[in-house]
Amino acid sequence: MPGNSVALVTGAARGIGRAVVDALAGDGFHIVALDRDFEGSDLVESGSLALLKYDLTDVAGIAALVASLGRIDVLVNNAGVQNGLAIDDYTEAARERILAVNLKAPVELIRSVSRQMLERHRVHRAGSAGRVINLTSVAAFMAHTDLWYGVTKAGIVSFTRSFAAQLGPQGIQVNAIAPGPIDTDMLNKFAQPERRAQLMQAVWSRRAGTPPELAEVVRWLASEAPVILNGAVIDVTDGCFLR
Amino acid sequence: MPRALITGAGRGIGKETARAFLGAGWSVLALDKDFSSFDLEDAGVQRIDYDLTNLAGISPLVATLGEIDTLVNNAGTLYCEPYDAIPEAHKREILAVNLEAPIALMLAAAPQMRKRKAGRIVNVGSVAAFTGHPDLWYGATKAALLNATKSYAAWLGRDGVLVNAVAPGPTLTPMYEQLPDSRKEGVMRSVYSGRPCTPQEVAQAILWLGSASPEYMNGMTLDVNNGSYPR
Repeated sequence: MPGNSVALVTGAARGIGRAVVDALAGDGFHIVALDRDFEGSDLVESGSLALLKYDLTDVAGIAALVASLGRIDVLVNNAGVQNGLAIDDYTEAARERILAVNLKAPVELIRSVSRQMLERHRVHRAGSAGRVINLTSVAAFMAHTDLWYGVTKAGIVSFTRSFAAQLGPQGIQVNAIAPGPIDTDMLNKFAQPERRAQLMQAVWSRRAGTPPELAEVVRWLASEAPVILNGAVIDVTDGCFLR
Repeated sequence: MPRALITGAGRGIGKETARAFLGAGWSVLALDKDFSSFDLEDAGVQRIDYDLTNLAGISPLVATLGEIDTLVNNAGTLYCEPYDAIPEAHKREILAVNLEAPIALMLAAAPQMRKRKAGRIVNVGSVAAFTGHPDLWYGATKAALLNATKSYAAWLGRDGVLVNAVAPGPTLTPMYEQLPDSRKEGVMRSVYSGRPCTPQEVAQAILWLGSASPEYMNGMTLDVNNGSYPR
């Protein structure tokens, strides 16, 4: 990717998103880091890093937001929530929130961003028109105690392929990454020590992945992956889920 | 009376599959190299004492068996030796029994099935096909067999022949007893029901695919693993 390409990363304040900011910055990307809350984040605005405070539950506002951002070459749909609730304990508000953040917002972002990508690409034609990387989870393929989390992550796999089919012929790559356990706030919050130890038994290295490891996969998809790679879901599980 | 050829019918899943087909009114050609635990005394059963490592003999054998409506490739073998110390003889045996013999049997049965524009083949795979396995060649041959299932379905489907597979999770058979305890515990943690599969349950799935499943279902693998391996 050329030096002045711009990447929009959602959920960028912490965890995987935070590591993605570093990885893409290392490749020379200018970055728009989106999060609803930068409290406690060590991200500092600079000439090549803009912080954008936005709550993705406001799906209706996304098109206007994207229009205000100018050029975006790479979109990383990383923001996601998990509630850790049994299905009977789910409130309507919790359900609507997870559906909005995990499913509706990334779809709306792809719709909005792909429009400007195609507009720009009309001039060049050759090569990649733009790249979208969606963060899903192995939860997409298995039973998950947080039903809506699993459902939304499976939905991400589906729309990754739908958008790849729709936008691929016009030069846009839409791929996804399905991580197993990664050392983040989300894992620490929902996998208590006993559950965590059990999870680690299934991982070949017996440890959780790190955000920088996952960010390297995002970077590769954003910068280097061949254009023929489209609609793919890359499993980053270290053996905890093989399919 | 329709006839099923079932390999590895001497024990475990194969024996229960033979029982299930008999119960459904079929006659059964029960093939194995060892009938010491075979206790199905039924007029509908014909024993075929045959060692499937003898690949060259498979085609002549099938020629003597007459009409086969359904072929169940169930026979399989497993050792669980260290990756770097698998004896050549064991590798050859696993490849022969788990992969080359089922393919030779499909090849031998295909002409008569194509001629009749009917016939069903059910291959017994394993979740090991998706997960890898402590017995490297076991996993590799099961994955290969599921792949061959699709190739044969593509080849024979136009002639009305169905080639499907089941992929059982760990099932209570003599083979299960060979598994290390850690593997058994892992299974118990992951299955929805908290118990291993019974050979009777796998047999029911095989019977359905081998006799009654809809004809549009072809080249597919039916997971019988109760959550031990969703994919």
